[in-house]
Amino acid sequence: MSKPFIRSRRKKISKLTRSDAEYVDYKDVELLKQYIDTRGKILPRRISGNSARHQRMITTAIKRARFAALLPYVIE
Amino acid sequence: MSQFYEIMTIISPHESEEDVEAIIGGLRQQLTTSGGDIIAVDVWGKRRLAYPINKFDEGTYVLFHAEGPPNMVSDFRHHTRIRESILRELVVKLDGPLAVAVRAKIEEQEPEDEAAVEAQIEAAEARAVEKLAQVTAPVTDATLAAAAGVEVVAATEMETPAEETPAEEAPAEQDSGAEAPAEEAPAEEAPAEEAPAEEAPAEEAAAEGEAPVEEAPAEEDTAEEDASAEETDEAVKPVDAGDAGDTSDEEE
Repeated sequence: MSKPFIRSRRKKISKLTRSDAEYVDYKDVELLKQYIDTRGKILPRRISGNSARHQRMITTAIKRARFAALLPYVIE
Repeated sequence: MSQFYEIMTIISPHESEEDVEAIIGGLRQQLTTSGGDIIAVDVWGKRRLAYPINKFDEGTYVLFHAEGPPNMVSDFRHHTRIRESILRELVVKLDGPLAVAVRAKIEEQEPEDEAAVEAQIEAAEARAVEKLAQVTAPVTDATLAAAAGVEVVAATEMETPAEETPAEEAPAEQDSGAEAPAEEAPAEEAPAEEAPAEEAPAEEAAAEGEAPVEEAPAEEDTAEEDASAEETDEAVKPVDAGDAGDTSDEEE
């Protein structure tokens, strides 16, 4: 199989990484919603454009928010 | 030694406003008795849950900020786990610059009107006393019935659930002042007594549960096919599995 085409999309840099956030609050539902897909899954770094550090912070925050029933585990 | 914690609890929507207040008072007391210092209490009020917990679709969120020794957290968890009216508790340790930042924010938001806080505690204690009065009445009735010797079985059945809870509580809380546990105990009897009452609606909810479940996919039919109807049942399961994982994370 050959590569269908060369990707030319510009890399998206997340808002968080640009503002260099120090902590992601699990109570900030509106922010966290930007990092889950329509199924409620956490967006991969490839798509969210987060730095590794920010991706980690987002991930823990989303998981905490899910436990606190602020975010769903799954959206059907 | 002492650490700064952010504690979020979800209280059952079943509790009346006064009961919620009493529960919050109990939680406060729990935190302070294990050597904690409460910095702020923020009651968010009733809020829709992202998914049902114990068949409830909403809950009262209460956020505490407290400072205290690590054993405060384990004591607190123990306390909340026993209580059925507390659906969730999430403890997050805030450390380093974050603690400082959050603290500054709290101080900025509410120049802590301590009078109001004290009033809340007093109210909670007053409720506890009221509860004591209410609770003792039925118990004595039951004892009288038992003395009459007619409905001995029924009477003992009634007594046991009511008395068990305080018995469990007592040792944990006697460390503190002499009066505090005495007043606290009745507050805790309340959930024990209400437990049977809670069960009934919960079962009703179970019976009705299917209807809303079916509705949900119907609304989103455009996005999903029939498969989602089956998936809703499965969807509930990962929640429990996730709970265990997440909570242990927060303990670190």
